[in-house]
Amino acid sequence: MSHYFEKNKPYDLPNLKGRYEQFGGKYVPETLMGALYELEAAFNQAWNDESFLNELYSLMREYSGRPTPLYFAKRLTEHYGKGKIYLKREDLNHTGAHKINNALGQAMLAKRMRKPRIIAETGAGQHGVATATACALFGLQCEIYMGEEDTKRQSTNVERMKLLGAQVNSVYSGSRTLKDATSEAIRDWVTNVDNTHYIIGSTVGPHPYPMMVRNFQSVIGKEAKEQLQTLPDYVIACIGGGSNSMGMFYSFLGEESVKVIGLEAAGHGVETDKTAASITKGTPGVLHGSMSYVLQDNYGQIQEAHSISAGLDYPGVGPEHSYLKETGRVKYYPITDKQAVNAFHLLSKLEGIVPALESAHALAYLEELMPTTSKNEMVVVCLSGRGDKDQQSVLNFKEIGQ
Amino acid sequence: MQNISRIQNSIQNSRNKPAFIPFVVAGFPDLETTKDLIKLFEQKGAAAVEIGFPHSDPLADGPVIQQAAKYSLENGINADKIFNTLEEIKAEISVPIILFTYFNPVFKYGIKRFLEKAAAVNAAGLIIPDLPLEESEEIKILCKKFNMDFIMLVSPASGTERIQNIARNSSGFIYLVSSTGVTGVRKDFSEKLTNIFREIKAVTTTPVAVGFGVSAPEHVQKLRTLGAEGFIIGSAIVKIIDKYKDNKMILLDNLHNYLKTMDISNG
Repeated sequence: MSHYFEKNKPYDLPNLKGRYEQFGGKYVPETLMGALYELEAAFNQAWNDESFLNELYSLMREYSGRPTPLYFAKRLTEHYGKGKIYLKREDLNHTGAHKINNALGQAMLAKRMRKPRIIAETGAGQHGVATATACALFGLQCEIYMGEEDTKRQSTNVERMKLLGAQVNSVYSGSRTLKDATSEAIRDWVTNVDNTHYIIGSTVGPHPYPMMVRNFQSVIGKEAKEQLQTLPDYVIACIGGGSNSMGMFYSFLGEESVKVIGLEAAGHGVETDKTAASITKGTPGVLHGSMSYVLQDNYGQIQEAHSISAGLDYPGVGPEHSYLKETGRVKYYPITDKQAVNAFHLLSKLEGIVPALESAHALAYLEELMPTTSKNEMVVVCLSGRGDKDQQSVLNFKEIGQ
Repeated sequence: MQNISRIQNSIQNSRNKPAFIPFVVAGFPDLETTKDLIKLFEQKGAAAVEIGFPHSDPLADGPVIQQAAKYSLENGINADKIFNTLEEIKAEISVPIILFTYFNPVFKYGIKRFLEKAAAVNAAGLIIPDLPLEESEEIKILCKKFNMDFIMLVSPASGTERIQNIARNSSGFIYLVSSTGVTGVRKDFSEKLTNIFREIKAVTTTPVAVGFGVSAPEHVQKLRTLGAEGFIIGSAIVKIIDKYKDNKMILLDNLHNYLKTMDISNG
């Protein structure tokens, strides 16, 4: 048994049809069904193959820098004057975010399946960079789909992807953000399914993606649990599609005493239509191949999301999060752009760590949570990525705000 | 006793061999034109007409149908307006109507409610391109109850087992996708088509209609040689509608001319 990834299941889901109760499933054109079964078989085999997992983890260790530290944020803790705050430093991964954990795993799978061509969608560009990196490492051809709006607000990541040898395709349809990039990547896959593997970057999409991405990312929570040596009182993470959070949460879901909290992007506020809070404001529906909470109108048309964070700017969420919301095991709350930007500044100034705007949504919740904690309580925050890429967005936000 | 499929019947009795099945996006450029188009296609001997429900995220569609769907949605087209339009002309037409829609609009509307409405406007069949066999149990049962065909897609990427499973489960016709990819123009059809056609015919007598990228007379000739009982033209028609959408007379004229070049017999 490999000890790098979480193999203890808190519940036996997804079921054989890829469902988490009513959520999940496979809602894709027939052309992709064969590829999904092939992927599921390849993943299940790899997941039970010690040599695959050892090879993957040694890459994570020697190439990506795992294990990432669990850092006690002393000054942030003193700032609130209550419980102890720990940061799981996924921002210290190679390429600057947790996305590389999954990209390496799926690139290895693509190799096993003999698929020489890789495609991926990206919002903030972090998953695109991670995928381009893994492709360079494994000698795979790589094309990244990115909404035109995001190529503007994350231009440095576009340059990085190109530097890594990837082709970046700007997507001009719809809101020109993550949703549309994902749709376009699926269309590419429908066309080139014979020689192409689609590396989805989050716990979204048709089965087996949500399960597979969760399992590769489970290295985050598994490590954090061992580093803490005792159970924390709170585990918190931000949610877009939900990959850093599922990875962080998974090892703790079976521990009843641990309170688990996910923060989604409220944009201008959940009471406005400029929001990405799919769990708070959405209803069950199908987007990008699975049933989950989505922002939609009464006729099932998907609505455009808004968040200052390109990585959370998505009108859906992974099906397992929808399930965890329904069961009540995880509590989900919305965080506005403004709250996230404040948290971005606070961590930068108090700890010398510039967080990704995505991660800043998780940090922002500390404002509410910390006053309710006691001195001996422990709070672990998944710091999913670094914020260099967001400097311009934060600067622009300040100008608009003033 | 099993009800006879109106669509299958219409395909088998069509004077066009293979039978012609056009696709349009509802409300593109407006619902009145959609009515006129249905009537034109009926006149031209269409065996059935596919009415596309516009969706915000049409994963199986290429740029032509994506743009048309966007146009419709921006003009406020929704399922209720489409049902009303079909209700208004149902007494005037006899050509079977097939509703082509992504799953989420059906799910959000309420699957049963959607099918009740569909049956009430005399729809003869339903195609949901993002609902594979595995997810279609409930809707298949309801379609049967409302005496509607549930038409399923077979792709060149489906293996033999899936092909035959889908062939046994599809009614009205089997929608054979010409090659992997989204709707719209492509270089050529899959070389696997002949084999897939044989695999289907080994297990069912349900007609096979080929779609995705069918746009030129030589395509139809190819499908005739293959033995396909029908073919679907979507993007090529939508493209003509887009080009002439500002003048209905010219639009109908051009469609008329296009169908002539496709060797579709005039009624």
